[in-house]
Amino acid sequence: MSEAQTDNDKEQGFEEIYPFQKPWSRQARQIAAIIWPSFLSAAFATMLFFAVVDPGLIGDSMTPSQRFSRMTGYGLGFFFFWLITMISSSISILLIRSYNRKPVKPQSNEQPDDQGY
Amino acid sequence: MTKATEPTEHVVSFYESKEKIHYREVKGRFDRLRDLSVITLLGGYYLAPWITWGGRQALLFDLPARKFYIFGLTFWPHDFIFLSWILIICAVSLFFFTALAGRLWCGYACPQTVWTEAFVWIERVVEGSHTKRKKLDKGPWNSEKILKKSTKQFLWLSFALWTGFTFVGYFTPIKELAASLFSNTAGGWEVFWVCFYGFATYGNAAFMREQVCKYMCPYARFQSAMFDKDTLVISYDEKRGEPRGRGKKGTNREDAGLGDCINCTLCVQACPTGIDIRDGLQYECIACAACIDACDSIMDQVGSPRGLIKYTTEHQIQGNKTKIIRPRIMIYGALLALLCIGFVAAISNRADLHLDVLRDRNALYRETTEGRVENVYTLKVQNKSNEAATIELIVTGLPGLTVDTDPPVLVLQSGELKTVPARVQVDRDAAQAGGHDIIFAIKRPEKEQPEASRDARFMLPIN
Repeated sequence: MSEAQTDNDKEQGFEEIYPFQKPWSRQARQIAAIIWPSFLSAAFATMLFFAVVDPGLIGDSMTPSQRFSRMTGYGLGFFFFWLITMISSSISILLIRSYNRKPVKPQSNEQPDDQGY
Repeated sequence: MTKATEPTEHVVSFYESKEKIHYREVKGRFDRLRDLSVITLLGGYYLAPWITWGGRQALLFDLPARKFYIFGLTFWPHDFIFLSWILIICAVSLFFFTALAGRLWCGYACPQTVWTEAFVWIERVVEGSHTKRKKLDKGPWNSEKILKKSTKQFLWLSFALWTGFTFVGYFTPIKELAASLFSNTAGGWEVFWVCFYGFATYGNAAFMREQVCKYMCPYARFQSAMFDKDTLVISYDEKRGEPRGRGKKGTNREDAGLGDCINCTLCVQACPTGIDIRDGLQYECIACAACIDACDSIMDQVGSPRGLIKYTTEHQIQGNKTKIIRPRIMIYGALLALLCIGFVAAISNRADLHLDVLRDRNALYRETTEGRVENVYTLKVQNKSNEAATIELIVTGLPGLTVDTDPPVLVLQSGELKTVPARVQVDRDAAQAGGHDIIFAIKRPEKEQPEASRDARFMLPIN
């Protein structure tokens, strides 16, 4: 029996009274764990980065050089950071999810434990 | 148990439950405290950008111009140290208040809580109490349901967009923003950020609510590191409450062997994160104290003393005394006080003038026909004060140094940054050959001391 099922069983008595409260699925939890921390980190990175770098000057130093306003610089900067942090969070989730804790025995019927997260 | 040869597949939707959470509303001391906090914080948030100070917006983080105005103070990109300083102060205060009073932040001040509360108010005004809302959700799509649901959505969306508009109003002047939005001439990015922040508010406060605290908030997971046995937590008095039970009418609960908990489950119904506080402290608990209000109202009704669920500490539950002054609090508190004092001192002693010196990269030196040696520098001078300033340049470090700038007299308006070439000359035999340190300093005629200085290298020919 997996961990999630145990959780659901524990929730059972509670749900008799409140059928409206159900926990998020593992997939939903993972999507949330990717999007939200990466959003916060990107906001933080944007703040620190643009405190010292003028976004209006970034275009000049690009090859080929681009012309864009500061507002565009801030916007693109934020989404660039968010993309990068989201990639990092996704890889973390993938590594946790795909880690085989137990060695896979060829005779065993048991599935490798990929439920790390 | 599943067999390895038959991988099972099951469809998971983003929300397992299609039904929405409707927790029971409770009235009480802590509910009133939160109402007060919500009104203060949201009121402050929505009103602050409209305050003017000295002819301009009092709080304006002017990103397009890269200047921050906070009442009478103006901050520039090179005041970056203050921003990092504020962030450190915020982090240490979070540590301090968490160690002292647990998750006060979560229950009363977190934007997630505050906006969720506001969105729930709107829902309650339009659709009624939690039982009416549940009935409405289950009921058929008749005209009443359509009317109520669309009114609610309309109010939610307007509120969210207004929130987004206010947010952008902290970064571009809000009055001009309002005018440009109404006349449909606003810039693309402004419109985008209004919608983005509005959408985030709607998603977090109307749609996900306390699920954000349960599944997405990093603070909820690491706050326990700052907890100790003297931290204020919300707890159920197990000794007094157990064994729980309804008991028969007219019988003495003590005789029946029952504790004070009548198992009315109101504390569970009131909990926005859907936990049972009687199971002990759980990380889902955002310390909103709704269960305290709910339980107190029941204790009043059955005639037992209040406080079956209450703010307490682990030490108090065990029957010991709570120590407020303890090493952890003293260390966090001292650190916080030092940082705050240092910050205020640094802000009040902030130099009004700023100077940067760059050596000319093309030539090390130039020899003049009069037998003098000239080095050329580029000066960046900025006046960060709120008045215009006349600036004198002083160069020291070698005997007989002279300096020429173009223009010879520097007058800088408030906030102005000027790039000025400066030619520094010295007699060839004034010093040994090679490099020498010289000091550039700037001062205003009315001040005794120079207000900013920079070191630079002066090169003399080797042969």
